[in-house]
Amino acid sequence: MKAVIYGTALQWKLDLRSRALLITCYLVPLLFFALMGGIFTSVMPEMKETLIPSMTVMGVSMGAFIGMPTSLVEIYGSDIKKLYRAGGIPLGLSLFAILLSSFLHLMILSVILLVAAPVFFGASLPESLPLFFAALSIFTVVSLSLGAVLGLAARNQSRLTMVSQLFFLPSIMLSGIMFPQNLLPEPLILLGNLFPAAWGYRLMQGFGIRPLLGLGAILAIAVLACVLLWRRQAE
Amino acid sequence: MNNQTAIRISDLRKSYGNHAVLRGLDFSIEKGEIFALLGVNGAGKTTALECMEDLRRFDHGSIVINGRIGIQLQNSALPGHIMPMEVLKLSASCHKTSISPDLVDSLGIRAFEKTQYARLSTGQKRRLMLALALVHDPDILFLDEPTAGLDVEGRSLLHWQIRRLKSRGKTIILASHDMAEVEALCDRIAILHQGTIAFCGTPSALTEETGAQYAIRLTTKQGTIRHTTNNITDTLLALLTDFRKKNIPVLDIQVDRGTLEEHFLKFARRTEQ
Repeated sequence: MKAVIYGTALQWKLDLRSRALLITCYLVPLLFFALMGGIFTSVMPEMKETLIPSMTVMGVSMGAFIGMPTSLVEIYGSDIKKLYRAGGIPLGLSLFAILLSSFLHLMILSVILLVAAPVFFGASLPESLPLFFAALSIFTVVSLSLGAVLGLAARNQSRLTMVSQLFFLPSIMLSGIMFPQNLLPEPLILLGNLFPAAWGYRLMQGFGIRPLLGLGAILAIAVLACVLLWRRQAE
Repeated sequence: MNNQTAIRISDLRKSYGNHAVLRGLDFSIEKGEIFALLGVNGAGKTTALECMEDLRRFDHGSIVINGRIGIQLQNSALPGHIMPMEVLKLSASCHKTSISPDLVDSLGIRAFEKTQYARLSTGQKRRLMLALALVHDPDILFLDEPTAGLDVEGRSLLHWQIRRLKSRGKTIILASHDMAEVEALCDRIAILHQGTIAFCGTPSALTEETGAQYAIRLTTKQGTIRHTTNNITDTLLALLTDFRKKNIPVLDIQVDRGTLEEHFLKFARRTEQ
């Protein structure tokens, strides 16, 4: 237990020292929020109703698909993995610490967005904050599980960068946060539903069974993929 | 396996696809000795070490280890932003122990404890890796190329550390390309050739095995004479008696039987043929 607590606290500190994670978890999402928040709410004032969930989905997706997996590849795609095993540091501890630390960073980002959006752009707060945070937590966990698949599957940073974009871009473009999903052709809606962003966006706007099932299905697939990739890592 | 044996390896086999890397290794390492694993590139040293270190699965055979192990890997890396004391604390907490101040002081870790790993010099990284291997006070220590990339001072310091560990009863398994290092430190060596043990014994036994002759260099006021012989006692006695009879004072005597590197190369060439 002591090792788990120390390992997680250490990962938190390492994340704060890492410019890459700060850029993808804070700087870029907040810049995007500052820019797009202004544009969206000026061009379409009705966007004030959905600004908080849309910006949160964008920020969490970026942190989970682009930020967090780089920390995983740094360990699992290099000699660090071997050294940790040699040093008696369980590989599972690193995975757990990275996921937990990223979860906390993404929660902080979401709180910043939640506080800043009404102040700067007059955005509406969610009707129920506890339900919003429950939806946010579920969406973040599912996104991180998919990010973990990317981090464990990629053998190096350059491949990860490519694959992460393949997940991140359609996730954002087809989730409904940039424009309503019902304006998209049916195949693109189906494609968008393969990513957690579409379901997370709906869940944050109102708790429902369908988004929960959608996220649950993605989580189940991601966990299964993680188990298979983990076995490969262990070998 | 008796109580004095630290590691016993029996019929160890390992293949990568159709390529057999280890073809039935059999040897044992005694407690408290420094044992070197030698061989040309591709002989199977790293695979054998990694099997012993439980970092690689093997196909057949057995490895019995009598004690806790510590491992210093050849190619080591850590997250660039981590600091030495942080990774030592992490390893110590995983081993349910605490960091010994003596360990930190003797390896000079304090001098760079607040420096991030990416900014450490090669020597500092090597010392940190050794500290990581020792943090849980293991009985058996694996050192893979411990002085690679170090300057003379760094090598000397690390050699002193290794001797200090031996004096404390640690068993040390060393893999090194530096024959001078092996000769200076090791009690016994094993030479791997194409996945089998071609030789296992003391460095002087290897010299005997290769049939190296003694080279005697004797200096007098009249000059230097050189002799090669298999019988050092008789030859030296005869030479000295002769000089005494002629009343020629001997100024210097040097006896050399070649370096471990020369014997290893000779042995490797012979085995290859």
